[in-house]
Amino acid sequence: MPVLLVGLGLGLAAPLVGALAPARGRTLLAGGLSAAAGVLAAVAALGVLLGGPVLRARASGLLPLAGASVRLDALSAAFEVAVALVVVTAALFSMGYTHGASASRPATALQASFALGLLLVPVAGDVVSFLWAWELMAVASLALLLVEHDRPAARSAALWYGAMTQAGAAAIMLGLLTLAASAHGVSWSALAAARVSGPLAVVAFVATLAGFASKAGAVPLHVWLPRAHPEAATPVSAMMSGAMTALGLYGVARVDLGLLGAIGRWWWAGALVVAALSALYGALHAATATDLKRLLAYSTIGAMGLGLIGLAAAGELRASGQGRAAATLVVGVLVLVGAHAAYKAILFLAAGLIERASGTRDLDLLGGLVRGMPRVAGLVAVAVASAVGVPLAAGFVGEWLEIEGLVAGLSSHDPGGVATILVGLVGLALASGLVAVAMVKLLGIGLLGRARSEGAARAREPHGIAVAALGLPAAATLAMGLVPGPVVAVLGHALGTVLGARAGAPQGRWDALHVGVTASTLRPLALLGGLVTAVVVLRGLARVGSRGVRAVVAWACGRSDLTARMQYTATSFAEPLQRVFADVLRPDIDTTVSPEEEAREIERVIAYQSRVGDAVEGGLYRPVVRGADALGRRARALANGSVHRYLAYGLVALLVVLVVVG
Amino acid sequence: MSGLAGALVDLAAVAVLVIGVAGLWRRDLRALVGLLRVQGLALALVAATTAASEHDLGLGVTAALVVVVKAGVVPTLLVRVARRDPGAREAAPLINVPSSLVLAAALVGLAVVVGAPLHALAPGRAAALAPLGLATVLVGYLLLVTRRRALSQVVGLLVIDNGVALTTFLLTAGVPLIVELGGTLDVLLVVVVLRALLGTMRAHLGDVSLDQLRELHD
Repeated sequence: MPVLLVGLGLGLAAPLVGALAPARGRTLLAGGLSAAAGVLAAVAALGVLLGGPVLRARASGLLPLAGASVRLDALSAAFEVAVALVVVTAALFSMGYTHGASASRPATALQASFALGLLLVPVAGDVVSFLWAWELMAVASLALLLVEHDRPAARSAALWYGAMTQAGAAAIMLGLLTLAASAHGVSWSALAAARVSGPLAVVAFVATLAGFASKAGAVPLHVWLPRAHPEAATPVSAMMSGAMTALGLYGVARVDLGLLGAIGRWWWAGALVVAALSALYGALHAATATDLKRLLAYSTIGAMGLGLIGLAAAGELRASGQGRAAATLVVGVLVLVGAHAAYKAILFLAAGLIERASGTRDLDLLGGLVRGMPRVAGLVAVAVASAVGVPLAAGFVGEWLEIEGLVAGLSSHDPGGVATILVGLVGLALASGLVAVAMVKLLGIGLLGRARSEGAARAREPHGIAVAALGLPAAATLAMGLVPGPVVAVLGHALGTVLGARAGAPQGRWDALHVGVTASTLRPLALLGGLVTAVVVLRGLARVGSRGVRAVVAWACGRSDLTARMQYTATSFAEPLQRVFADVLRPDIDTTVSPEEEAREIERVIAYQSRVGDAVEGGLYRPVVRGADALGRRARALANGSVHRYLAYGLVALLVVLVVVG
Repeated sequence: MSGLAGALVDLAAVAVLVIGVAGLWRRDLRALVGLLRVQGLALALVAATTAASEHDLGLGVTAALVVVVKAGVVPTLLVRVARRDPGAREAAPLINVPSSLVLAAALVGLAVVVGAPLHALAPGRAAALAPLGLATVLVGYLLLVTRRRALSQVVGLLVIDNGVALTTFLLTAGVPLIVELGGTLDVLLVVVVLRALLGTMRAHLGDVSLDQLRELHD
């Protein structure tokens, strides 16, 4: 317990230091304190995960109504470790990366407050503390978007984010207060003991799910995410994408799965369909995006969609009596959250380094970065492997467990349930395929090949802690991918909180991971051993049999005069997909032909531009915004500038109040 | 409270209201300011009588303050504004005089009905008159809403303030002196500012009719 409290204390000190310290050393001090806070919180959480007792603390005078309380159980710990990984990485990164305007007092203090909010949300022990921590996280990140308020894109992103996050927070508050009022208590344990069910539980389910899913970027509540994440400063966008969205999943696991009593299973089936659509939508946009950070933001929507599929399917399966499959799914989602936190932190931070080194984050202008930025490219390759789901990286373990859980769920005898799970399975498969396209595009177009612009050709990687910090999540990714057994074994402790039972949890040893419900086993170390053996044997054979063989460049069709413009670009790579899904994506394509001066038949320049806007934003939100705007304009008739009219409003209001009260 | 004091308070309180209603009737601006002066005196009479019968020194000081500010300084300031264009009249109120008198009667009725519970707050002879204060507030508001001239609107504002003061005198035998002092100085400040504003408006726009002012500009 002292470790956690000291950690949170350091986290609280970080914003104060950021606000008070002089410019020299401000980012170092605040970043160091935030990183230390994250490390201590992770240590405390690992202690709980390894079988330690649940940590609890209360300070009755700290917050109004119910006081502040801290509770670190296995579910909190699983998310706390993932969040702390991102917070520590981002804090160390910004010690070497942040300078100039984003190192100002407010920016530093707000970034440290955001980190503190992220660390507090999973350990909040009751509704009131949770809402405070949630708001701290939301408001600090909103203010961080406004640090660069002189850019219109940042202002517009902040407006969208502010509206969506506050609406989401209101929905969550409504849901949690409904629960607390029916349970006559505010602590998680009181709510869990009450097992609220019936119509009020449905209200709480819908409200909290909408709020949490909005934070996790579920369609159609995602519109803030692809705007806000790319506009924030790099360490902030890493924390938003890697940690904050994951806390949306934490909310679903904690409240909707863990605290609510029985609600109809079809509510969960509906959530599953939304989650599948969301995963597909995010992945599809990621595959067609050409802006590096926008691609990453959409892939976050895709990855969180996969997590939501797992949680919703777990709810559905538990309600239909297949608790063992649900257990596999929940553990899979927890692994996925950890894996996503690690690889998304690497990718966003690397995107910041690439943008700074090359001056652009447009994939169509990048390429060949592997030569100038070899270490960054290597780290990005590890992250991409995890995101794509290559075995031996963390992402694969999570997706494998989730697929195993869904397949186990198919053994139900009820056609409706099977159909629902099939939707999840298909959504998962298609979305991971599309995310793979996006990630291959990122790596292949952005980092390999030849440079497509001067800036990309000149890009060199920085030295120092900014790159070294990325080694931490990369190491975590590889460790989770190579030895998933112990990780899965300790994450199984969280099942008691989420599902109420641990039956069916995947078994993990140091060298193997076994899923009971489908009787399948994963042995990454054996796979690695086989792979190494195969490579060694093939190389040996090649050496033995290659005496008379001449080595030539096999690429480039035998030509030597290839230029960078002959390569695939990000746009052309995604063009077939964009064509297939044109009805969903509604791209805005613009082809301009400028002919030669003297000969009209000869075309000199053909400019092709394609922009993919957000169809949900255009179709769903724009009409609402327009309607509100029109209402506002019409309401102006009430205020025509006449003093007498304003005074008359006052008199009428006074009379109405008098009559009503009297 | 002796019979005489009670009768005096009754008379003065009713006078405050009647003068407020008379403000709706008179259209000559100088006469309007004259009414305001008399209303201030009537208000001071309420305070002074209550102070004398309750032997309350603070309330006595308040009464003196009311005489100085509401019957002295403020009307004098307003008269100076009115004197700049002698014979200025409220041209045509938004609601004509007979209708606004009828409306005022309705408002007084409403105030008496909804103000009845006020009596329960402070049982006593004076508290029973509290609805008169409420009625004065409503009449002042009506004056504010229906008059076009800036000066008449200032008068309306002051009638509202007098109504509030009357209510407090009747209900609680006056708020603490310091609060009354603050409130009175506030009113004085408002009048001084409005007077300066009216002077500027006249310089820029000529005759001041608020009807023609439709937009705010920097």
